[in-house]
Amino acid sequence: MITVKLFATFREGRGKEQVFDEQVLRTPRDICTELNIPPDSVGILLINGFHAAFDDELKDGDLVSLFPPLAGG
Amino acid sequence: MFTHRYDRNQPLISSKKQSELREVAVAIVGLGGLGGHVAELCTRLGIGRLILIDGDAFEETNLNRQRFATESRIGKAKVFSAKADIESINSETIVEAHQVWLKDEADIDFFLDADFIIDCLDNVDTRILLGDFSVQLKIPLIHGSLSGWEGQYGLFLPDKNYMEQLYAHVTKGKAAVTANLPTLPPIVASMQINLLLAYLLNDSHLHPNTLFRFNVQTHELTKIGFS
Repeated sequence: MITVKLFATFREGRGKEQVFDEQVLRTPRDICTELNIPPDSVGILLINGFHAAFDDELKDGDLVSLFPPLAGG
Repeated sequence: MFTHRYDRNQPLISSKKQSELREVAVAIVGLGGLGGHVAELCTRLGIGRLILIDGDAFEETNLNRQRFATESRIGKAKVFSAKADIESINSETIVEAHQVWLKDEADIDFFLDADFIIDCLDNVDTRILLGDFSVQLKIPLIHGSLSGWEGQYGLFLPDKNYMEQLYAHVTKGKAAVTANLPTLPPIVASMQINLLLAYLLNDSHLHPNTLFRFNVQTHELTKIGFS
């Protein structure tokens, strides 16, 4: 199973955390599609705390973190 | 004349270190929510020279949070207002004010004398340009940004353009207009200057190339390493 941790506005209507089957959703891109989060609205994408790409393959036990970008000053 | 100005910086900042701070030049890019507070904190810390860069003028919506925004300054250049207030806090601080928008590589000339770049911007493209300047000039970049309940900050060494990595997935352009409360900019600005101070004091607790992301509503703090 994959745990997806969501931050800030991504939690609205989705909660803080969701769990998915890596056999069904194989990449962060699949997860974004499932959660209705456009990849270009993601600021930081981490797998197990490391920066990752949307097409990286996920494996059982992975923790995916999705942060919206912050660009205001 | 004001010989006790820095008494309360001691002993965390020694007299020797305090005098060294007078020789430090900091370029502050963006004099809005973050940059106003950053400029004030640098001044009160005793940084000797500030290079202020922002093409913008104050508007009414700035009054809720921007350090140097006043009703009488609406329509006036942010950098010159900042310079006036900084000099009223410390007449010995050397302030260069440039009312310009950074556009391209040629603008590196504004940073030639800087020891640090402090990113107080509101858009991704110029942040990536600052990342380039940081690498070319081999000076650290101290990033800060915020939106809604969240803020982030980090000190990035000049070994690569970390801003490209930080905003790798993001569509470029000016940030969407979102809530920008009075309470967030002073926190992020203060943490940016704490990082500057930690670097200048060679503090072993400094975590360079790390983004600290926090939420003031949920009180979460996440450390995100960059490599």
